[in-house]
Amino acid sequence: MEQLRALTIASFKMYFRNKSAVFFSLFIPILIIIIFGVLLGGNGSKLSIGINDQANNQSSQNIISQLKKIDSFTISSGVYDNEIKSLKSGDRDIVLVFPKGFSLTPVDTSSPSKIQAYYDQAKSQTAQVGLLVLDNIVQTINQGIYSNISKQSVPQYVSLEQKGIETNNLSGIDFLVPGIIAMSIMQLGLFSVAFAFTTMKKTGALKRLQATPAKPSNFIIAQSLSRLGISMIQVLILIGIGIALFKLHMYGNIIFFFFFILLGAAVFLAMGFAVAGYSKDENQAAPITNFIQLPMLFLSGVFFPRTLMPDFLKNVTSILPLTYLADALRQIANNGAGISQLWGDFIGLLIWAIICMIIAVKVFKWE
Amino acid sequence: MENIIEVKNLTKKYGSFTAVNGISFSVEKGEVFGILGPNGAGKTTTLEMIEGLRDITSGTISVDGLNVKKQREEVKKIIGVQLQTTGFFENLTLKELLVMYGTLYNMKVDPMAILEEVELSEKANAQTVTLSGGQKQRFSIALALANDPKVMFLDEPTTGLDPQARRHLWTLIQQIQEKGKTIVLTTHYMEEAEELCQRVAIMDHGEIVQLDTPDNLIDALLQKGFSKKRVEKQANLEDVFIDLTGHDLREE
Repeated sequence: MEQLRALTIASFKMYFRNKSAVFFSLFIPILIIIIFGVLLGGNGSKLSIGINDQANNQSSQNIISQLKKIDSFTISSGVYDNEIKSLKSGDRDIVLVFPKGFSLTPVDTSSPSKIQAYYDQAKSQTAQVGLLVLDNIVQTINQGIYSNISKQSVPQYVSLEQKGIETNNLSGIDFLVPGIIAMSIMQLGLFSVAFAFTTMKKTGALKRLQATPAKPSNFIIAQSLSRLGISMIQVLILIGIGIALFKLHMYGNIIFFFFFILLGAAVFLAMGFAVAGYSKDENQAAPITNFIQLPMLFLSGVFFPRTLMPDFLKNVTSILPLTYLADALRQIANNGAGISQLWGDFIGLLIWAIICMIIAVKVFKWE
Repeated sequence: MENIIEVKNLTKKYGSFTAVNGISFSVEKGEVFGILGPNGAGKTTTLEMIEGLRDITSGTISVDGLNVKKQREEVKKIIGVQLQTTGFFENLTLKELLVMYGTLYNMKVDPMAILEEVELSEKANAQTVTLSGGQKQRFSIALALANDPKVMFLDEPTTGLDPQARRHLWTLIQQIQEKGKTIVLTTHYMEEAEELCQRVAIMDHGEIVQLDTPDNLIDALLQKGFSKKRVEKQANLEDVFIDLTGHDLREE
């Protein structure tokens, strides 16, 4: 126990005195958050309109095609629950619902055809602009239907029913920070372990360790413990910066958040040990770590949502460990998700952890 | 004299290659025992088998009555090891490294006392990257002393050092011997073996060709009628070098 404690402290010192490792694993994620935070701050982007077309007839299609012509709108469509969920998580600014039986041909003028427009109350300024535009379109449609009636007294056959809903008031930074945290966990595990161990291998320090009666496992445990500690510190700093500078939200339980941080760190530490154990030196470790982590950086939804990917890619990338981790962290921070919503991510990460540990044990060479 | 190391019919095979071929020798308590030989003769492999770092293909080794094959961990507790490549964990100071190595043996060490012994006290709070070649070798001996071992193994301790640093290390090795420790070392330098070792084993192709005191080996060669082509002068070029540049270390 005393041995483990001393080795863990020594391992902390080894890490923190390595200036370049600290720089890359801590300051790069901070830098990314700051840069993107500033970039995302400017709100000049398009309005994202979600459409749930329950009517799915000529009338609704007609209006949708008109909406698609508007440059400042990005139109996407989906089922009701998903669209409302997207609105709540900040992916949509307005969600339009065309109810069943929606029609532009007046059957009974006393019951107007309503389009429901859900918007984010907290971002009502942004939504208001969109609602104005939509209202304008509705008026034009009404005029088209009753073209024979004078402008002043056009009946409101089609109407826009505005419904403000309470959302989590999320912004781009809320999407980004959990992703960046997941990325930093991956890099700490993979890079710092792979490079530290191959260096120790090359210099013979690991071999020298074997000439002592100490159990090698104690050394590995100490190295892992120190890195888990470093991960925690790093995550606290990243969350702190997000909250202090960019109004990051943390709706979930922070302890539960850290539970996933630990689980993710375990996966990537094991992966790091597998790479370090297999590689003879850093020239071998570098391409392997890059081969593992670069595709994940872009395919796991760290920087942009995986919903933008084509379906086959979405399916393939859904089982990446970084996908599970980024998704879980985001669900917890953005939506306050609990374990019942995150079983999939939990089990996915657990399986990856077991696989990586088995590989690490199988391929580890001390020299 | 009591033997502290007994090696019997020791063999190491890598596939079809025989690195060490059935060698037997013993090391007496308190002596400096040298293993000489050209590169690839099997010196390091022999040493690493005794240290418990490599599996033994066949044969037996006992160190202070312990069977290396069966009591590897016990053996490691009573030996101090300096490997050919002196790798230190990075970013730790000499003092911290010594304390850390102590904990690997579950021992509390007095780092300053050990650093004093190898004349590195003033480097106690420095990191190993700042050390010169000679200082690195001395520190690597310091780490080997961390567990106050009975036997020390030094694999080519002076390779790559300048004459002053080498002589300095010789003095250190002699001081350690005077404290009652047994030392087994390998070297390429014959004058080093002559200066330090009570007995030497000369290895070639995985076998011990000769084993005796340096004096006896030289006498035996002379008796075969050997004589140097050039008459040896009372001094050699190294003596000239030391005379001109002094014994003082240049590294600090």
